[in-house]
Amino acid sequence: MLAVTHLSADRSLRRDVLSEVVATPGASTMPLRRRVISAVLTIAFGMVPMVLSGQHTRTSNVTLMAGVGLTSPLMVDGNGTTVRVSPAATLSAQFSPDLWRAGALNGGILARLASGSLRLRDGPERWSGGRMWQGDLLATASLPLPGGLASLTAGGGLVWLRASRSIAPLEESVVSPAAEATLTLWPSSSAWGLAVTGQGYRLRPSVGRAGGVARLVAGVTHAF
Amino acid sequence: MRSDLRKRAVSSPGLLVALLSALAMTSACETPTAPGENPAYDPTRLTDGRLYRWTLGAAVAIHVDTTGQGATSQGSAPRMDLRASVERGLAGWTATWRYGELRPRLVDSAAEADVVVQYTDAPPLVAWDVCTSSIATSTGRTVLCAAGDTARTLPLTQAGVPGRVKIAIVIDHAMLSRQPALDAIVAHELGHAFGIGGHSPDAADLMYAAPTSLAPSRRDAATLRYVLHRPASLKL
Repeated sequence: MLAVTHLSADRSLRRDVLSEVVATPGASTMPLRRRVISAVLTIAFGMVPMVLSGQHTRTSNVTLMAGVGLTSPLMVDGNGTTVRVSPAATLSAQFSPDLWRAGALNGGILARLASGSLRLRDGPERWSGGRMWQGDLLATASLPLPGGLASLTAGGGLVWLRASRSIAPLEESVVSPAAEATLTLWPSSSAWGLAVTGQGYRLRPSVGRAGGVARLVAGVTHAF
Repeated sequence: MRSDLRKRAVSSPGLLVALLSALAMTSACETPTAPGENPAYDPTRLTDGRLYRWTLGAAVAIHVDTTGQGATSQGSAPRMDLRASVERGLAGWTATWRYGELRPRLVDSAAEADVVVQYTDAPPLVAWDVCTSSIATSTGRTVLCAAGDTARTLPLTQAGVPGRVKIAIVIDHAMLSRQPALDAIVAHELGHAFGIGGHSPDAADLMYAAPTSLAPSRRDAATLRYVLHRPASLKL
């Protein structure tokens, strides 16, 4: 993401790309509807949508990440039960248009989906609570770190949790505010990087006391 | 000093990111908790202090035998639906569990059942008379047989089939005239089958000796939740 961000730092580039979209022969052969959508997206987000234009541009600021998430206990019951989530497969996409840049900070939005299974334990007994899904939608602010090989991203937004069976504290779908921080390492100038995210959110069970849940997501990221 | 900090936060993006990162960490300080519960009444009073229950997370297979109810359909007496009573009873108890402690399911065959439910005038599916210990109300009886620290498998009457039945529930429908009364008795006996080896002194509870309630009360629910999370001295 960082390498791409640096390339697209100049706002004048966006104007050039916009005129390219309108003026290039490839663009002119696009259906009118596609050209309009492309122009609107370019003006709104400072990005030429690759799918629409059919060409990879240097202003694309999309980052995908695949990883594994580890989560602290969702619930500890005084009767002895602890509710945990198994290591969960996680996929996320972050969109950081140039229009949302302020100084060194680059704003963006991030969507993430994770799925793991609920694991319950009471003393020596363990049983499954079925599958759990977590969806995240966050506003992010990314900051390149000195040296240019790493970036730090902070985010705030909402997490959505749902379990396949009625297991406290997820008897019903839950939406909760969340905050997170991500450290991304970009070896050399590769578009591939390694990312570690620490996330925290609050859960309020139907019975008992609200508390926080911490999640650590580690994975591979790729900037487009 | 506060205004200075604010200026620094605004002017330094690094500090802003650090503050957001710190917020993420501090929001997860305390784990959500639920308080422990005590039983509303003694869940072992009918079992000489022995607490019995299923392994947590167990899929408890229940077979409902609807034969033998012909007697109630004679004359003007309404025909009652034993299977519907069991389904309603299961729904009531399942709703009281917080962690999917048990996964009861209905099965078509006694050979694959952990619990059988039938009327007293039906041909017995298990030889439950080999066991002397049972929990009985006037119209319902829950039978389980201790063998050391485990419950004995009740032998099926069908020859050549080993079976795995641990609990037999027998309902004397001749004492019942209406479906709600059957519902109450069946739900009460299911409470015994799931681990409550006692009766509530409160007539409003499902586990009162002569139940009229159709669903577990809060007191019943708390008592069963307590039982399900205590070490069993008799494992089913």
